[in-house]
This record gives sequence, structure tokens and C-alpha cells, in this order.
Amino acid sequence: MPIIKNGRIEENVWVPLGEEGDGALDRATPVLVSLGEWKAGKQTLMANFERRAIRLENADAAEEIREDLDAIDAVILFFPKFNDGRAFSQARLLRDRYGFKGEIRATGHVIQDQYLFLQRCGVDAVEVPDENLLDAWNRAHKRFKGYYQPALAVPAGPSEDRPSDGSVGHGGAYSRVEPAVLASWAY
Amino acid sequence: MYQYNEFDHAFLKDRTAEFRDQVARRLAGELTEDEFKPLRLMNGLYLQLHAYMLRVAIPYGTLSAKQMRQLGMIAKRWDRDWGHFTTRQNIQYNWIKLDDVPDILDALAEVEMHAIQTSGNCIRNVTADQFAGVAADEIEDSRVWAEIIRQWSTLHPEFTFLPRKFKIAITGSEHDRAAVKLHDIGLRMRRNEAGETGFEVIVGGGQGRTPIVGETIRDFLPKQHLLSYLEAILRTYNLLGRRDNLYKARIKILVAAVGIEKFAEMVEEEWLEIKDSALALEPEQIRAIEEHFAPPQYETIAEPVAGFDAARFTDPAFAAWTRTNLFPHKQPGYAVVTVSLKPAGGVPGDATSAQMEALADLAEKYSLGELRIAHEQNVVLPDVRKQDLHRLWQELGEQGLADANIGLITDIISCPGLDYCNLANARAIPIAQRISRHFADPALQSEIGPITLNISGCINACGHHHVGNIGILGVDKKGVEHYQITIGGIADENAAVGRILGPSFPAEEVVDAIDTLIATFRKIREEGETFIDTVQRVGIQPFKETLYANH
Ligand code: HEM
Ligand code: SF4
Repeated sequence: MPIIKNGRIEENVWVPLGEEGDGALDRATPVLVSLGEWKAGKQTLMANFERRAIRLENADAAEEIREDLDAIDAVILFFPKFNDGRAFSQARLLRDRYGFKGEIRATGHVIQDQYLFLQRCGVDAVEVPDENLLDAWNRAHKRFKGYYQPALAVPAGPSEDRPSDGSVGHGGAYSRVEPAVLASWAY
Repeated sequence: MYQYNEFDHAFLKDRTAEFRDQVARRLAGELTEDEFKPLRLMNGLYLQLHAYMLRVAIPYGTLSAKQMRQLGMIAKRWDRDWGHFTTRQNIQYNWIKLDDVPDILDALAEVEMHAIQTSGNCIRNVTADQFAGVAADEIEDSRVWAEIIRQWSTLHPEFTFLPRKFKIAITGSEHDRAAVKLHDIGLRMRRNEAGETGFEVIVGGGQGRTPIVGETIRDFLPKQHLLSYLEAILRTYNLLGRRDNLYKARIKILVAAVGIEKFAEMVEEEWLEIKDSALALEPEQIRAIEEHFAPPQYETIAEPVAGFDAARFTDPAFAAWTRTNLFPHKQPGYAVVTVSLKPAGGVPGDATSAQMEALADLAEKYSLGELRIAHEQNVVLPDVRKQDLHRLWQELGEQGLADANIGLITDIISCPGLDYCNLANARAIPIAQRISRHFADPALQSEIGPITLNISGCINACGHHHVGNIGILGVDKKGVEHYQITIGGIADENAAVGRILGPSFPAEEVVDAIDTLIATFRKIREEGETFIDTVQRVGIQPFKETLYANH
């Protein structure tokens, strides 16, 4: 499924470890593992793969990967239903508290009406069923000009001059989210 | 009163536009009803038994005359000429068309009102003591904090999809008029030994099918930390609250599961991480909000006010009204007036467009343009000069709004029940009407004395039946509407959940049953005792015995 990130469509690159089996993947394959797989084989995964993403389920505590974030390129958060809001807090902790710089992606059932909330919690990529939704999501991104409460800053809207080289595409160094910046603190 | 700035206005406009777009997407089939539902709920829109119902927020119960007039206009133009004030300081319109909602939201935005978060699994409209800012017994004006909480919680990115609805109430007085112990979070303003004001923080209260009185997790929270502390509680709840079972998703169940000490520990631990973040309130931020609630220019009036005392002396009906419907004001020469929306045989909390308009006019004429909504479903005029009270009372009488029954047995709280609500097991409104007609005699009411009688049409407890001195709960018994009776509930600082007396009664026997309880009380009460005093002294047994004597 396509990914919306920074106002553009990207393709998913992460390959789940489980599906292919460890041996089938080469070093350069961006690998996606569950929290359980990560905890069980952290050292091996780090030795065998250049880029690593972890998928957190709703009930997983983000705290569990706090010490490992330097070794992780992306965290994929899963919404079983769009109104199960645990991932908002997970994202907030990862970005705000633990200072994670890589991609935080929302997958599963998410809708455009949540886009700003997601971004303000530190999510910078969402998986959508259909690339025709890009415009709608980008509109949702611009819905409000300011907010009542401090949270994470929303990245600037879609813009032509944003760096687009593959090197910082997935789980790279992009996503400059400043900690606890307030867009507009109305008090 | 809080006045919107440019930001607030722009924000509401964007919000209304967003909802207009969502309605259009729903009508075009782009949103499933399943996806639309939480979105409309966050805009206060329910699908009820007969029609859409729109619930409009009256944050912490405070309204200007202009806002009240607009509420009347909305009732006239888009509903059937009346609205229903609720126990959560909202107004509900019961006959709304989906296509009209964006226009109604625009009309609300015009007068700085909205329906944001009056429903849905988010932080709901914050409720407060209806006498905040004017009550003589107040430590500090809680509206400042209620407004700060309103702003912080409005479309909070992290807490808009919580496990369940989340309700916060606040009181600034020792005597709790906001039922703070029966909310997910209750806040009581307190003074510490150094004389500073702050908050006692109570969590895990609530009604519904598992009524629980909240417990204190912090005796004293310095004011500047209010938001970070709330955020710590909400984050803990969002991550750990149950989502597998609707009925076990409230914070009270989480608190009960982990224990209050452990819960407090988790919150404190989270709070230490964010205590000094951008959430810490700077003195200037607090001052800026406080300025909105600066006391109005009161006149200097010497007590006693001669005209007032004379009118009381010569007009017994007025005197009776002053005994029940007035509350002591901070400022000498002024009184706080509660206008009863509970005429004998009326629907508790209902007001017609004409009444709303009249109340707006009277607020302008006699109460510095301000009104409040009480959680008991009445309207308050907070700033009335005592010399104007007699004229005010007469003018209220012309609108059918001069009932002298505040705090008495006909001041019934009732949810809409089966007349409107698709969750109801039984009717609630007709029961309230019958009881209020039965006890209509003012002399009898005054003889019975202070008492609360609350009715809910089902276990969700929207009518606060658990915490009524007498509670009536609609239950379904093999397809027939029945009513279960509890006594001993209290909603103030001594909050308690009532106890069930025994088997339920069919609708036609409810009035008799209540009559029996009252007769029993009058027989066994000691000098000066209120109903609840007697229940606390003798327990439920004597009531149970007389109630079921003939069964
Ligand atoms: C008309 C449609 C309404 C619906 C569908 C509705 C639904 C519900 C439900 C499902 C609950 C139980 C929540 C829980 O325990 O988690 C509840 C509780 C409650 N509702 Fe309503 N309600 C409605 C109207 C009202 C009205 C008119 C009032 C005020 C008169 C009200 C005030 C409350 C209060 C105070 C509670 C208890 C809060 C608590 O448990 O902490 N609701 N409602
Ligand atoms: S208590 Fe039940 S019947 Fe009454 S309004 Fe609430 S959900 Fe409806």
C-alpha cells in the first residue's frame, strides 16, 4: 500500500522478517520485525541488516525499545480500528520523550480526519489504501492554522523544494520534529 | 466572561468547515456510518430514537444573554421551539436534521459557542460549580481553570480517541456543587498551609452501571502544574485503559484494577517527566485568562436592603421563593438567583425559545448580562441586586419561571428516557412529571425540606439516580417498564452511592412508593433532620419495611 509522507506518495520498502524467513533476505533489504522478534534477536538483526524497522502493536509499551532507538530506522504503529487511540500516545512518547528521529508510520485503519492529530503526536508517515487520497490528506493537513495545546510541531505542508533523495527516504535522517514546540499556544 | 480572540474565532470557523466537509462526505458515501459516527459524536451529534440530537456545550455552565438568545433562536428555527438543559451543563436539541447541523454550528460560532467534544470518547465539556465567581463560600473562581482546561482539551491530538468518554468537573468551594467525586477527574480548589491555592485531584469517579466515588490521588497540586498533571493522568489512561469491553473502559475500572496507590504512583512518575515542559502554566498566561473573569463593576450597596425586606414581609409567595431560590453572593447587596426549570408537571430542564429569550432579557436587565446552567438542570442569574429581586420574580412569573422549589422534592433531575433516548429501558420524563404534580403543594414541599430526587431511564445514569437522596432507575422487566428505587445517594463533597430498597415497581406504583418513603421519613425524622440525615441515622431498613409492607 502507498505511504503518504511529507505531502507525497512513497512506496513501502519494509519487508517483514516473518514472511520471507531470515535467510531469504539479504543485508540490504530493509527489514521489518515485531517487538517480539526484535527482543529475541536484536544482536543478530543488527549484524545481518543495514536498516531495521519495528512494528509496535497497541498493547506494546514504547518504553521497551527506548534504549534501542539508535539502532532502529522506523517504527510502524498499527491501528486495528481508527478509534483505538493508543498509538497516539506511543508516537508521542517515541518522538517527544525518547527523541526518536526516524520515521514513525501509522498503518491499519487511519482516516484523513486524524492526520493532524497524528502529525502533532510525531507520526510523519501514514499508509493509505489508495494514492488518489493524497489530495484529501494534504487538505486535512492544512485544516487548522493553530492549536490550543502544546504538542509536536506539524511539518510544513507539501512543498516542491523538500529534499527527496532516496538516501533520506525511509527511516533516514529526515523528519525534523522539534520537541514540544507549540504552533500556537492560545493562552 | 471569556471573550474569544481572533485565534478562537478562526479555530471554530475551521472546525465548522471541517464538519461541513465531513457531512458532505457522509452524504456522498465517502465515509461509512461507522467512520462518520465518532466524527459526528465529537461534534455533539447523536442519532436518537426519532431524529438526530445535537448537544451544545455550555462550558462550565456560563452563558451571556446574547448566547442564551441565540440558543432560543436555534430552537425556534431548527428544532421544535424548545431545548433541554442537561446535567452536564449542555443544551440538547432533539429534533435536528443532519443537513442543518453545519448551519447551526455556524450560528453557534457567531456567539462563541460550539458542540465540540460534547460526546465521543474524548475529553468532554468541562463542568463546574454554577455559582463559580459569585458564591460567598468560594475559595477561588474555578471558571479560570475550567476555561484553561477547555482550551487545552479542545481537539487534543493525543486524547481524542480515548478508550471511553472522559469527564472533568471542577469546584472552587468547600461545598461541592459540581459533583466532582463522580467524574473521571474531579478538581477541588484548596488552600495549603502556606495560604496558596491549588487543586485536590480526584480520579476514578463515575456513574453508569458501575457507580464509583472517586478517590484523591493528590491533596494539593500547585496551579501552574494543572495541565501537565491532567496530561499525565490522560496518557496513563490512554495507554492502559481497557478497550476490549465498552463497559470496562472507563478510568474508574483501570483505577480499581491497579489500585489507587499504584495508579497515583504511575501518574506521578509520568508527571515528573512533563512537569516542566511547555505545559507548565506561566503566570502571565494565567493572568491573561483571569482578566476575562475579573469581577464586574458592582455597586456599593448597604445591607440590609430595605425594599427587599419590605417585599418579603408583604408578599409571602415572594418570601417563599427567596428562601429556596437565592444563594449568598460575595458582594453585599447582591444575590445569586436560581431560576427553576421544574414547574409542577413540567419536563425537568426544558425551556421554550420564548423562555430562553425572556431569560436573556432578564439577565440583561437584572444580572449584568450573565447566566449559568446548573447541573440540576436549572438556570442561574448570578448577579442580581437585592432591590431588584421582587420585580425580577414577578417578571419570571409571567414566563412560568417563578417556581419556589430549588432543592426541594419537585426539583427533580431527569434524563430524557424512552421519550427520546434509544438506550432507554423506561420512560423517565412522565415519572418526573407525575411526582412533581403529586408533591406540588408548596407547604408540603417545604415541610419535607431539602432532598434530591433523580431519575434515569436506564443504567447509564444520565439522570444521576445513583446519587439522588432518592434515586429512580428505569428497568425493563419482561418488556414492561419498571422502576427500581434507591435511597441514600449524595452528590456533594460527602458523595455516596444510594442503596437499592428491593424489587422494582411498575410505572403506576412509583408515585405511591415515593409517597410512602416520604411519609416514613416524616414519621421518624428527628427535629431539624433532612431526608438524607434520617437515612444516614436509621439506615434503609425502616424505609424498606414500609415500602414493601403490603407486598
Ligand atoms: C440523549 C441521548 C443520550 C445518550 C445516548 C446517553 C448515553 C449515555 C451512556 C451510554 C452513558 C454511560 C456511560 C458509561 O458508563 O460509560 C451515559 C452516562 C451519563 N450521561 Fe448520558 N446519554 C444521553 C443523554 C444524556 C442527558 C440528557 C444527560 C443529562 C441530563 C446525560 C448525562 C450523563 C451523565 C451525567 C452520565 C454519567 C456519567 C458517568 O458515568 O460518569 N446524558 N450517557
Ligand atoms: S440514562 Fe439511559 S435512558 Fe436516560 S438518557 Fe442516559 S442512556 Fe438514555
